[in-house]
Amino acid sequence: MTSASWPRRRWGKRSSASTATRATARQGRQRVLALLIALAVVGCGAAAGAVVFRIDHARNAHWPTEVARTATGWRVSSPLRLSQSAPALAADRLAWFNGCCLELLDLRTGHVTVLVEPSGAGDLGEIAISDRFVVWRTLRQGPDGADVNRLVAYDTQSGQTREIGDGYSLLVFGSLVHWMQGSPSGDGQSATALRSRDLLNGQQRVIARGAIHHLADARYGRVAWVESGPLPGRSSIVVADWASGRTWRVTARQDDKHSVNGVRLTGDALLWETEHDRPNVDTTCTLRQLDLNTGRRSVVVRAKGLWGFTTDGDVLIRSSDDDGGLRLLARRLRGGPVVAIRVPGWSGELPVVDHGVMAWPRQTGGGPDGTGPSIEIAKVVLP
Amino acid sequence: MNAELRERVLFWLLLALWVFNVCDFLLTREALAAGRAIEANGVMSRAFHSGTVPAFAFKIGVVTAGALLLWRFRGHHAVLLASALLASVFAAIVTYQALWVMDFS
Repeated sequence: MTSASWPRRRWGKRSSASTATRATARQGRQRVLALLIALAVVGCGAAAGAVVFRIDHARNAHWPTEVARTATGWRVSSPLRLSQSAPALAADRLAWFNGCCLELLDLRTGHVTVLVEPSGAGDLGEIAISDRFVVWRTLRQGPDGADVNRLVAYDTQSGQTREIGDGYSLLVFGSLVHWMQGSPSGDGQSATALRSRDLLNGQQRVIARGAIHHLADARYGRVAWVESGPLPGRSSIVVADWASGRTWRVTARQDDKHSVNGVRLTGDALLWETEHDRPNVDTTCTLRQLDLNTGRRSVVVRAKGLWGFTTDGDVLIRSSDDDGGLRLLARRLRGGPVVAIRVPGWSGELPVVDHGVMAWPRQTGGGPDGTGPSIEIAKVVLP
Repeated sequence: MNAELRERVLFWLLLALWVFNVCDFLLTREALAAGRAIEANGVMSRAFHSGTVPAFAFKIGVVTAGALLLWRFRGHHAVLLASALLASVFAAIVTYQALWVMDFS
């Protein structure tokens, strides 16, 4: 009995142990299977997310731009309410910063091209634009690990982008680009050079060296810059011609102070603004002109309460404060009736003007619809 | 799929959902702090305006309560399907956000 039942009992134990082992193994398999199923579900979701990201990245949906027709022109803004700044206008094209993106708007079609997507905060600087090229400054790491201001040019005809050098304070007109470059001199002081380069044939030369404060304007093969004077405000304006090498120099008079931001070149003239530096008297700004062909100087306009100007050689725009906004006074440079334009939500930057079209950045919430920052583009209608 | 396996899968899916929810919160906060995004969800936008801690408590609280509710009704087939859908959608959102944050930072 015992001998007969023992094997059975033994068999029963073995059977029970085996069942337990099988159950444990089955549980283990189920655990693994459950985890694999869950991972498969999550993996499918993650893969879908990655695919959608790639598609959005390819069509720039991450930094969307809203382009809207207005009664007088265009408005560009971001649904993300990113800052819209540094507009540059030339030949029916507007280049500007949409957040950290550099974008180009074709004013004829409303088509936006993203020239630079952000690769890091604050890595993009100035923008300059001509009828063919867009030039900008970007921060890149040099061979020694230090950040370097690299200048990049985009050719709107070929769609090619290339680096053109190191520097800052950019200007471009046609194919001629000008910039400043700091270079250490022998005495340890920083010397500044003004370089110019023809982007079509690669010809490059140093136009000037020394105490250059900033580049002011470049048009028709000429470049104007401001040189720091020995006294504050006593600066000089210098113009150089690329082809002939000829230069012109304008120095502030004893009782005048140059407004260093107010210097523009037209085809044959240099325009600049001076402030009369007299205490207890309303500041009077005078817009002066030097005919570069004849050397004759003249006063274009003299007025109180107006400051800053911009011109494309035909339209002259002056500005004044207007109760939380900006009031622009537009007229032909050669004279004629003045048209007042109110700019609500002014951001602090003066408008840019080209071929009778002006563009200016509008600050957050400045618009009547309470939307975010935008660039407003409008045709200046003059009688 | 037997009941035991279904329960185990549901457990992992709800756990993944909870973890993705935390990741979603952290990535959203990162994008908002960098000024590269706006919170499109009005409820969460108000929660973020109240501060990071209240927003975190609200977001985690809602999803934890939802996950516990789903676990409570784990016997229903629909619960597993709903959890699978939620987990995969959250996985997609978090992957998208992570790639986007990596792209700009």
